[in-house]
Amino acid sequence: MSKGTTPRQVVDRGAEKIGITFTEPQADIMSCLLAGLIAGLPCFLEAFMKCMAGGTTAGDYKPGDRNRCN
Amino acid sequence: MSNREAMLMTVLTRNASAHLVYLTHEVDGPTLHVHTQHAISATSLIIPLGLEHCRQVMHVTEQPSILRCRPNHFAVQNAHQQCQNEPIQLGTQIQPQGKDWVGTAGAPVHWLDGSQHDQYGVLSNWHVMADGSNGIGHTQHQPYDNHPAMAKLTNWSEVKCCATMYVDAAIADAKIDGYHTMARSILEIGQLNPTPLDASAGLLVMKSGRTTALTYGQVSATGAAVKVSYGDFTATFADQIVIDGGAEEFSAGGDSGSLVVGRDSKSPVGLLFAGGGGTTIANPIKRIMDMWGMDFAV
Repeated sequence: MSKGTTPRQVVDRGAEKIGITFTEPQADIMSCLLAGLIAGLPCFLEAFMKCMAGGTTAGDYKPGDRNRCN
Repeated sequence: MSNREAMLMTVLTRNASAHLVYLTHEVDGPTLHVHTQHAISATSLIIPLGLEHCRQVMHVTEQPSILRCRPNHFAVQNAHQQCQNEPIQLGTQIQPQGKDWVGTAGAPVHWLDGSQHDQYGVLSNWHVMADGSNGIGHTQHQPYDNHPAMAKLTNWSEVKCCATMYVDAAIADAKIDGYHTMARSILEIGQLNPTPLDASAGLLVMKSGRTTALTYGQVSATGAAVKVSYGDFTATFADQIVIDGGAEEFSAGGDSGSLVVGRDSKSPVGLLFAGGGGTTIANPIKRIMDMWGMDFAV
């Protein structure tokens, strides 16, 4: 899924800000339609609306189940 | 900076021996509290215009310092110091790769990256996860380095000696090899109410941290000006939350990075980063949320 973005510096309220540039969404209706279709019919509206609002349909929380102590 | 913040900062900076200054509103009017390490007379204080009519109360207390510690400084005493398999509950200990201190991985948070993709990770302090690190991507572990990484440093707000600071915060991405290492809950607190809560004097709060585990306290003041010892330097903060643990200590070394939440609501209130002399200091959580467009993962 592709989506246009415009770089925007974050305003830092009194603290030094380092490293990251955030971007502001510019929703593109064709890519959002595609995002909705990829998500499947039952989820179409939710995915479409989320995408149009500047959100994303990718990168959801995926809890692991791995051993971290041995 | 608000007028009240500016006045409290003036008291802090003009009176060299003061390290914590705040206002409370008593029945008989506003009261200016000044904490110093050694006893001084209230009449010797240099008070700016606007505060000169406040009642003044002097306190002799230890200067607050950051609350990280060596891993073996406190013997293992609770589940907050035990290694966990995934999903790792927060309110537990964390250590940057190659460093000899530990702090607390405070809370599960969510933000959008530069491509507007959802990211989930850990909120703690700059001085816990980032201080002297190699920067973005520096791995964070459950002690020690031989345990696999649980998060990678993503963003931080550096604390410096000679400017007015507001937050000591850092976030680290908890997605490792395609899966998130962390749970979206805090040990002994559980799932958060993600709606933040403004601190106010008298608010009952709690925190879950690496050393003193689950403790309860009460906000004694907001908008405080405070000088915090970072070991190599002293940093000056404005607009801070002061928490009193009552008969028991609310925090100790190693609890830095803990999330302070409302006792009843479980709503985020502040990020604990310093303490000493019976008081604990926290950054207002909304400042951190606004700075990074961050919210809490539930």
